[in-house]
Amino acid sequence: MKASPRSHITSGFKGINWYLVLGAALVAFMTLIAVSGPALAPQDPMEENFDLAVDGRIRTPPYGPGDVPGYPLGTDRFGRDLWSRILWGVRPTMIMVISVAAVRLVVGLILGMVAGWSGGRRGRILESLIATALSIPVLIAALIGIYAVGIEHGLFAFIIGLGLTGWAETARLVSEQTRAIKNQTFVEAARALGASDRRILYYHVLRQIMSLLWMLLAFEISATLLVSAELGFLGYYIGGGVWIEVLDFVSVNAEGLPELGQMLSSSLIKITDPTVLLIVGSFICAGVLGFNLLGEGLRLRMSQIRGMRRFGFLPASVEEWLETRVVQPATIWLEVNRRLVWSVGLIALFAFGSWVVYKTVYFRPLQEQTTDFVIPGDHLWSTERHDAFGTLWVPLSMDTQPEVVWNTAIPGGPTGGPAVTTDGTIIVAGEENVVVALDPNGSILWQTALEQTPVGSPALDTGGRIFVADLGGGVTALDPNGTVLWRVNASNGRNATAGPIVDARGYIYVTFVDTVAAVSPLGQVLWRQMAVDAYLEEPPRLSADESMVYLKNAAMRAETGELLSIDVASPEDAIFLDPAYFTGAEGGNYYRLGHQIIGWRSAESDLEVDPALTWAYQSFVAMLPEEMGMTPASLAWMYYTTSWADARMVWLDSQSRVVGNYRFPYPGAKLIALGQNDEAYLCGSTGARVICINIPPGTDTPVWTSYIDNRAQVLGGALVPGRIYIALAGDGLYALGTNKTGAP
Amino acid sequence: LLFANFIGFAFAFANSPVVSGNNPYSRGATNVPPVLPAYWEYLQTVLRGDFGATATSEPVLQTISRFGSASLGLIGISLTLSILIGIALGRLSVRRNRAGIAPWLTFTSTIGLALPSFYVAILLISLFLLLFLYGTSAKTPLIPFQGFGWDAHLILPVLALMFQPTVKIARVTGGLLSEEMEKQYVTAGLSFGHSFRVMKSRYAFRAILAPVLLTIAASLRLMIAELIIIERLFNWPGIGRLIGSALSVGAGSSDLLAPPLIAALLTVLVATFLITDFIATFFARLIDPRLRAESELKTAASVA
Repeated sequence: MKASPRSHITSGFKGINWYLVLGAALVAFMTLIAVSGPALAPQDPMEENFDLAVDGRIRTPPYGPGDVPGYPLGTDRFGRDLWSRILWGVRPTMIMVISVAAVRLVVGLILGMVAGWSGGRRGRILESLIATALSIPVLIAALIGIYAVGIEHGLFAFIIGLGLTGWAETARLVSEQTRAIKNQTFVEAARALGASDRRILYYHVLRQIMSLLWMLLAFEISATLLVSAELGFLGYYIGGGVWIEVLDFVSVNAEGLPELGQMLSSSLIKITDPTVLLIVGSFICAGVLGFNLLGEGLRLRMSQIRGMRRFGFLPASVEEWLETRVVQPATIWLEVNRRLVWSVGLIALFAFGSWVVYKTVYFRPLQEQTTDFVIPGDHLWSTERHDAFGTLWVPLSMDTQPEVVWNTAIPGGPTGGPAVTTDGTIIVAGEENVVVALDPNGSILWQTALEQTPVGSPALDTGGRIFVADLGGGVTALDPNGTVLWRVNASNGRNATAGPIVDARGYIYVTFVDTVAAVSPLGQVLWRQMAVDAYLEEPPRLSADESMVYLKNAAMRAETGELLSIDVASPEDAIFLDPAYFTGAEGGNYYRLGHQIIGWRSAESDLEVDPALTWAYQSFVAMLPEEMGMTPASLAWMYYTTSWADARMVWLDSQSRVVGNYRFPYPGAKLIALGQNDEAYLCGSTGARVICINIPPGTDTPVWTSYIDNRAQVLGGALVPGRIYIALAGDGLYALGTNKTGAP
Repeated sequence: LLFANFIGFAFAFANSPVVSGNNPYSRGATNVPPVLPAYWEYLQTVLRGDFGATATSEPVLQTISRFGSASLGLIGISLTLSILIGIALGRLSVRRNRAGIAPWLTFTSTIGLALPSFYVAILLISLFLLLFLYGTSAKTPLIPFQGFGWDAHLILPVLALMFQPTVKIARVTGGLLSEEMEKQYVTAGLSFGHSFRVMKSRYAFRAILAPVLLTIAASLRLMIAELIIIERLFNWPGIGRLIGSALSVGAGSSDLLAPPLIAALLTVLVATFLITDFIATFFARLIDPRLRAESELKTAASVA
């Protein structure tokens, strides 16, 4: 054998330690990103984009790599720039990985040294401890460890979980080394001079092992990074723990704050679209590979030239120059000013650490969308869905258990829920062609006969006039005292299928099976527009600026009834998803498609998808939501109910996380309203009586439960200060309240 | 085993209210009842042969055996392949005219060990997805990349699963073999006229078989851990997915942190590790007389 035993390893080619060079380059790259990545990021890592143009067409995310200029690696499914997220995400990941590696290293070093040094029972116990720890897969140990600590503890949980058995590899190596050193003559000499075990360990063994330290650290970091990637993949990442951040607005961002593991986790949505997964995965692999190569290179260097060549990868002349002109003077200077160097180093370390913590903790919060949208509140309850926008949201709560205060029979039974005026007068339509007005104590104020049988709830305009739609296809207007002002036939022989809504100008919109008709305040039919080819028993909704009227997935111009189109999703997709436009209680425009809610906005001439959010309920529910909405706190909600299955109320936060999911086990139950604290007021018939509850998001126990001794079907209701009015089919109106005296 | 069982039970028992309590909207009770009485009750039912049931009221044992058999097949095939290929590669890398292991193996294995199995899996999936989308006009994918089946469904999960163990086994085999080949008895044997090949595969290989066996056992453990990820990615109904869904909140499993299930799973896992270790050590002793002598010496020393 001509070559010396190890020469071929030392040099891949041309005598250069390629492992070291490559590894150092990759590690330097990662460090650069960790330190200055956020400053380099071209986009805001948190900014979501839903309306970027691809090839001249507006498309929804995710955008592929290179699709959109300025987004080199494309975006995730929220339209957040992937490259910027990676630049931001490396830092928290590296901080976590390095802290875990350091902890592992220290524990491994101590245990390994003690195990290698001490014989006897203690040595054996430690050895077997190391063997046991080695035999448990790190991934499983970490899963259990992190779970036990609680992922919401963040970094701490990871240090515990990953450090649980992670130190074993180091400990084994160190204990082997220690055992080898133990038998060396200089140890014997030290002992002969009377040095204690501790002193020998500290001054002799540790010094020897210290040379391994950097190599071990590199390997530990690469191993930790690998496991943390796998953990992230399984949904365990720093800032994970889905529920923690929901209420606290600062930490809502913690979930969105990019971290490599989290990015892996959240990119596993569709296995058939692994682009994001691939990109993030490649990045992590580069890191793992870099540290692995670095460790390998360090090991090689140590095995070939023990401590002699500091700059093994440089040509000999350069190295010599460095050695004599830079390293030696520096070493001497450091020796002389040791104390100063230590203190400066410590201060620098502390400063850097604080800066990192500051940067990590005080992450710029999401800009909250503020809006001056006001839901008209001059009437307490102006139409079937509380207001013409159909928000069902009222700025009040009823926190104490109400009881039935009174009930009043309506001739023939009510046709729908009541409307409640500013002064608390309740207006209900009855099956026997009447409109009834009740005072807050349940006594009848007036009762007016109509030509035709009314449908649904009455609606109120700002002046308190009452509008009722009827089975004859007409709309009747009454003044606040119950005098009929006019009646107009608004449809071509079709019956109304729900109560009307009234906009701020006093225009009335009514659903007639599949058509929306607009009627002027003076009783002229303005327009009629066929909206959806279906039998719809719900009133239209107004857009927030009152320029549009929605009925399911038809959006009409309020002035003309002209149908508008929006390309949120292709019509083919939409057929079975029962899409619908609606207005949020905070004034946003939304579109529900299946279990998904998409934000959008109106442009000058047409509609376009808005850079808003998407809420998706990963539903196992076969039926589609009957009602949906958005609270002012941007909490999306969907209400599922049918006449044959349990009702269900679902709340989603802006990250599509289900913050509440309540099953209300009564078929055909009604959602009466959503209160100030996003709680839902539900009423349903058990078959023996009617049950009403107040259920806030995220719990299974209602705040209160009240009963009405009547088995009739719930038609609708209204939530006003101190009262809930419930309309029961074939019977009348029930008032639930917390005090006997009339409100307000 | 009992300890592992208890840990699993207590862990799930103590954690399930905590997890639901982490929901800020939840107003449910988060105080944990004492675990010991509950565990005692559980143990009594176990002694009666009843290991509890999952949320779908399937007995836990049946669930585990159903999922376990799917995993066992996957692991068995992967392990066999990675042993065969790994040892072959390791032996290939040791050549007559140079000491140490060939650079290609060092390089490949350094990269290979840096590739987490999930990354390999995604690479494979992407590759076949691209092939399917652009390469062929077939209606079905060339190789199915999702789901369960004892046919072509196996290919990708097995590939992803065996990648790291193979590289590891190859590296250890190569490293040990090249070290062995520098020993004096090999030099002596060569000088007696035995061919390099005979020395390598007959004598040196036998000498390193024991540590290789231990590496294989370690690989098996690694594989079991990786199962959690691989089975999730490939939608393989195995024990890894069971663990993943029982432990991860996001999976939406109704069996989340069910104490009997987790206790049983952990027991099975620890039992597997113990048995693997035992078998590996046993065979290592059987193969390598030096190990036996050493342990006998040890026992002798401890007796004395």
